[in-house]
Amino acid sequence: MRIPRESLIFGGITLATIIVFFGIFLLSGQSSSKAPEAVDLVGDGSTMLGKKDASVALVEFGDYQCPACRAAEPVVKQVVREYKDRIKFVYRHYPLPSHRNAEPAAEAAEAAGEQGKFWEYHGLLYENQEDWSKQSNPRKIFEDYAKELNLNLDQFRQALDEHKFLDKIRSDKKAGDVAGISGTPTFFINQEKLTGGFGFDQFKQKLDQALAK
Amino acid sequence: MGIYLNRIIFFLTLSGLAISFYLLYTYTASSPIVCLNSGCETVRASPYAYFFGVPLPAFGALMYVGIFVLSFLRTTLSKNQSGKIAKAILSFSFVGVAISAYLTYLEAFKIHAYCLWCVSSAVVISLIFLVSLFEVRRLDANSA
Repeated sequence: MRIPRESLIFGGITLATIIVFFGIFLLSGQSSSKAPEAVDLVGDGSTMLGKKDASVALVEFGDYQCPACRAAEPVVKQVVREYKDRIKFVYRHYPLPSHRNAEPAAEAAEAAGEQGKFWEYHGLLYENQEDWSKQSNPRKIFEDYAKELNLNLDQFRQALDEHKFLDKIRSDKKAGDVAGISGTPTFFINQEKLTGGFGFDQFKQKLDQALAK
Repeated sequence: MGIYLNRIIFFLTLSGLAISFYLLYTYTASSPIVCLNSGCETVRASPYAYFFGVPLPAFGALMYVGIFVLSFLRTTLSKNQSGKIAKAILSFSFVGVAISAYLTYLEAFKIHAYCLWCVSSAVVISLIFLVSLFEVRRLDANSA
C-alpha cells in the first residue's frame, strides 16, 4: 500500500510538535533563582525563629491551605531544630487566591502570635489542614485551636473581627509578588531562591554554603 | 488550497492537543510539589473544574483527538469522502466553540479568574471552527 504524501507530511508535523512540546515542558522546570536585591525578604516585624542577628536568613513564603506547604513543614521543623543557633527562620504569608481559607488562617495565626503562640498555632493549622481547608466558614475550628492553646478567646476573636493583621498579611504577600514567586512554598536563603525539591539535604547543602561565606 | 486549509486545521488541532494534555497533566499530577499562584489554580479549585468527576481538560483532549484523527483521515481519502469529513470537523468544532464560550463565560462571571491555557484553547477551537467553515464553503462552491 502506498501512503499518500500528505499523510507523511502530517505524521512529520505531529512528530515535530511532540518533540517541541516535550522540550518546552522540560525547560520550563528551570526557572531563575534570585530575588531582586532591593526586595526585603525578611521584612519588618515578621515572625521568626532562631538567632535574630544571624547573617543567614531562611525565609518561607507559605500558605496554610497549601498541601505542598504542609508536606514541607516537617522538613522545615527539622532544619530549624538543627540550625536554630546559626540562622534565623522567617515565615511570611502568601495566601493564594485559589485557597479561600488561607487568608483567614493566616489572620488566626497572627492573632495567636499576638498572644505569643504563633508557632504553636502555625503547627496546628498545618497538622489539621484537612479539617478546616474545605469548610465554608472555618471560624469555629480556628477558635477551637485558640482554646486548645489556652489563648484569651476574647482577644483572639477581636483580632479576627477587626482584621487586625490583614494589612500585615497582605504586605507579606506583596513582598512575595515583588520577589517574583510563583507559588507556595517558596524558600529563600538570603536572596537566593531554593529550587528543585525541599528535602532536608537540599536545605542543608544550601545553608552550609551560605554559612561558609 | 484545500491541502493548506486542512494543514492549518491539523496544526491548530495539535496545539489544542498540547494545551489540553498539559492541563490534564496538571489536574492529575498528585504530588504537591508547589501550590501555584495562577488563575489556572483558581479555575481548577472552582466547582466547575470537574464534570461528573472527570476533569474538564479530558473532554477538551477527547475533542482534539477526534479532530486530529478526522483531519489526518482526510489526507488518505478521495475528494468526495474528504468533503464529508470536513463537515464532520465543522460540526465537532462548532460544539467545541459553544462549550468553550460557556466555560469562558464561567471564568469571567462566576469564577472571576482566567486560566491562560483554557482561554488559549478557546481561541484555538474558534480558529479551527472558522477555518473549517471556510473550507466547507469552498468545497460546496467547488462541487456546485
